[in-house]
Amino acid sequence: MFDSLFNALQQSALAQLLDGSRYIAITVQIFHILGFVFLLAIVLALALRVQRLALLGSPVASFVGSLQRAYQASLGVSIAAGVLLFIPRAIAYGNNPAMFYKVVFLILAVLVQAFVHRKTHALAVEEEAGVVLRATSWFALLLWFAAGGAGRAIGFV
Amino acid sequence: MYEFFLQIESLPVFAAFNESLFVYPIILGIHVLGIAFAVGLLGIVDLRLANLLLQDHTQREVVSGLRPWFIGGFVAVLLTGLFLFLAQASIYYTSWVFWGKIVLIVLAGLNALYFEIHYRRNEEALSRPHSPGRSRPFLSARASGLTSLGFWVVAIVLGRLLAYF
Repeated sequence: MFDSLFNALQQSALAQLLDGSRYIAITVQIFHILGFVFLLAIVLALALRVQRLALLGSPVASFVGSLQRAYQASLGVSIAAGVLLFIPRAIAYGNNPAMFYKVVFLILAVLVQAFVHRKTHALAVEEEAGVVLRATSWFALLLWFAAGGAGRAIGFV
Repeated sequence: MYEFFLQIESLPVFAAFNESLFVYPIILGIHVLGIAFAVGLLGIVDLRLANLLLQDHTQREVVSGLRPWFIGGFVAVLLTGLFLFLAQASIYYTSWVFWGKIVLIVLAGLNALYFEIHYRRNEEALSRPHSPGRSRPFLSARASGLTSLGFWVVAIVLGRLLAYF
């Protein structure tokens, strides 16, 4: 279904530019990895706080709020770099099952994380997260790690 | 030394590991995800020390709150990293990129040691809710945070370059 789109992407001028130098590819990969490591760390820190496993001295709503921009920035960097990595290899990556699972897990993770952020923002200053929010936070973390694991598997499938 | 690493690499456990279809990617996956715990959480701490993130929270809160988690991550990274190294020791042994990465990790460890000593001496000052930006304990913590961040970012970059050089 997407074959013509993947073909067009891989034949595009941008794909030729990105594929033209090994150093461009390495630089983009590094941004992708650093962005994703930092993104996972932020999600992990948020989950630890929501689960009451760390940083109990900081109110949960304020802690989540303090990391909101860093979360958005690291998500933006890792997705943008990921798209740039995808374009020159669109046909191979587009037909790679690990890539498919990565994208599915990523979309689910972003949606579930948005729910966690929204519900956490609604908490009163000293209020802790309830059972549903804590369970959802675990689920979001699981989805992020599944996305990371699927991403790592792309090179092996 | 090269012969020694060749012998290690040919041990049955590492030979089986190198030929395994699933174990290698699983160990590598744990190593990479462990980096998110270890370097990622430490990165958040470093950015707090550098006064670039979580300014509403005291340095002590962030350092003490995340310390057990990033130390746990480092243990996972160290164990899986050692296994990955020994399985292909002769290749890594001759790689300048690998040794560059190890040197940076050692330097980051020394920086962490310096910070721990500094932190113990100035724990009270670092517990204050708002950082007096130019006081010595905060400038020192800031320098330590930025240095640590720099070492780890370059170590990750070199880790990625291992596949190319």
